[in-house]
Amino acid sequence: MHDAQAVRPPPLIEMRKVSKSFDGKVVLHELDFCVQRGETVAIIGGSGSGKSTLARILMGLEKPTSGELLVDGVCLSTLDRRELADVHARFAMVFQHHALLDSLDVFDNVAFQLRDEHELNEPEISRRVTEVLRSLEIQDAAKKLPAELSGGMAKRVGIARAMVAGPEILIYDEPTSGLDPMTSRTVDQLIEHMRDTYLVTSIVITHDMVSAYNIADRVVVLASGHIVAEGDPRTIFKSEDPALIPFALSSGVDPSHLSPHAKHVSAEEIRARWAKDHPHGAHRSHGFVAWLRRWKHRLS
Amino acid sequence: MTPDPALRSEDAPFRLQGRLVLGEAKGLLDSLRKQEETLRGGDTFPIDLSEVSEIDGASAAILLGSVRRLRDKGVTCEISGAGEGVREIVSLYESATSKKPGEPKPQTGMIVDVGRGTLALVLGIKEVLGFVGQVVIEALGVIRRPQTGNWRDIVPIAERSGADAVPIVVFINFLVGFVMGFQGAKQLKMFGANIFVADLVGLSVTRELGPLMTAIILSGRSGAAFAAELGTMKVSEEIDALRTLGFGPMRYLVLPRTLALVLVAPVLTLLADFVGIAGGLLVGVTSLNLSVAGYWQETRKVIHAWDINSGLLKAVAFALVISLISCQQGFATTGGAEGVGRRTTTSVVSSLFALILVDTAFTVFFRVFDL
Ligand SMILES: Nc1ncnc2c1ncn2[C@@H]1O[C@H](COP(=O)(O)OP(=O)(O)OP(=O)(O)O)[C@@H](O)[C@H]1O
Ligand SMILES: [Mg+2]
Repeated sequence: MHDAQAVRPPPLIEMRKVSKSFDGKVVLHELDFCVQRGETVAIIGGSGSGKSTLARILMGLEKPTSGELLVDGVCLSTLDRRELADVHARFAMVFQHHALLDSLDVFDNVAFQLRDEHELNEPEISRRVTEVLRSLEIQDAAKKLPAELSGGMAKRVGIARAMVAGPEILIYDEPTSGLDPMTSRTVDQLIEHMRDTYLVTSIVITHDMVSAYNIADRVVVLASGHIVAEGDPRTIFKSEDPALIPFALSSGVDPSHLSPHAKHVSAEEIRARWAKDHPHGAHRSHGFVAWLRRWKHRLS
Repeated sequence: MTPDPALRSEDAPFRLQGRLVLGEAKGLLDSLRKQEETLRGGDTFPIDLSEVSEIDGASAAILLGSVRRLRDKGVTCEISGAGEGVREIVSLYESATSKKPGEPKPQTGMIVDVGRGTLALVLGIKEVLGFVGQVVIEALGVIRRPQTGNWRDIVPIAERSGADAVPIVVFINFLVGFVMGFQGAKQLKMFGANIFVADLVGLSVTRELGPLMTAIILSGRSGAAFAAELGTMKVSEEIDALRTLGFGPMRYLVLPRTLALVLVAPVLTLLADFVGIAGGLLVGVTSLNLSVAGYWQETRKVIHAWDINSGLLKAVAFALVISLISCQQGFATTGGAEGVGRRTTTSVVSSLFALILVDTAFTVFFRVFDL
């Protein structure tokens, strides 16, 4: 583990002076920001501070107005369309408003991405989907339509859908918003479960300080498009910095009452386990399926 | 605590002290207002924050608002002496509230409005053309690699747009044929040219009204549905979700809808032709003393294959127009349920407008080339 740190690999994701504006209105101001493999980073900030925009830039749904985005040390602006599609295939996102396909039932929503990769036959798809549904405890809802789900269940289906093809990086946009505190804690556990089982690197966008405190290795605080603070959750939570106190207060929790959260697995361990599972580094798919997927990726 | 403004001598800094928090905001606002009234352009007004131990957002906003108003008046106004924490808060709000000087005021007036309207129209057309270009590129991609297309959705969409529209297409077109026969009957009777009602109805239905009425029905039913579906998917982030799953929304959503509509429109148009003629027949038989066989024979004599085919050609073009406009409007949706409603309305209105334009173009074209 120490050796691995000695030759420090480039961060999995790096943003360099990324700005984004909509019709001249600047939403993100020259953000510099890194995520190491295996980390769970929480991004907190008030409504409209640009959190979702940041996530959408990471997902490739939005192009930064200026600045560079690097994945594994490779600058995305130097890649052609196919290579870009390969990179984005390693990301998955759980959307703020779950964004399930309304016309498909839960099973088909989760199976959606697998169905189109012609390498998998239906029994194999069914096996994988059922496994994911079971690990999120929603196998009973498999035949329901999204409209028939409760908010918490829809969140789970969103997580299942993002998980099923085995992404390396999972971005959650406000996974606990609109949920009751109990369900929120369950979602926190799900995020940890996903990380510990599938070794994903997670970026969790949230308003929920308790959630950030529970799951994150590192917290990034965004205010009107600037990163105003960054650090481990305990420091941020207990900070005397006037810019941060509102966040700590708004959680309604007295920081002195929070016990240090017993992490099941540390970021280093996730990283080490991932490296053991992937001795040749990030897998780059070739062949027919990858080619097909690139075609699918010709976005509008 | 805010100082008594009376204590401030000329040029001495305006000194604020203590905790500037929400409870003190009213006092701060009042004392700053008083200062603002006395100051004129050219004055200097230094503000000293060195004795402020704490400031919150409300007070920072009030302070900066006052500074901005003073600067607009031409007062030189500097904030100094702020401690670390205070400065951070103040600068946080400063970047949010400061407006670039010399920002042009929005202009108004008739000429400006006309200019803006024209620009919006041109941009709108450009947007639609850009969209069409993308659809063509995607379509070529699918033609090269058919297995990358979304074929599964075509049948259900065709069923919804086509089969489900049969009753209304039949009903409306029958009435159109009937009404037209009725209007013509009176004129034709005067000349004893009763039988020509078959020519009148047959030709206008197959060449013009069958395709057009069908297209109008399609734009009201399917076009509106497409715009609303895609618009809802857009605002609920479903389209983004599709993209993150590796599916181009054009290929996955637009192409199947367009193809389905292009497939069903000619079929519905044929049906429309048939029932339109039947409507005319009913008039002929009931009020013009024609026999069914006679009417039918006259219709067969006057309608040539090209009359029907040109109608079908129009139907295909109409289907393309409806589908592309509706899908484009759906994708352009922003802003929640209200946005969906607005875009759906726009899509139907623009489709109808475009349909009439395209129809006119066809008719002129056919006439000029004597087709
Ligand atoms: N497509 C867009 N066009 C114009 N403005 C946009 C667009 N997307 C976001 N914005 C603006 O960018 C700002 C940040 O939006 P964003 O959705 O990133 O906020 P957020 O931090 O996710 O807020 P919330 O917590 O409410 O989800 C907002 O002021 C919003 O109006
Ligand atoms: Mg958001």
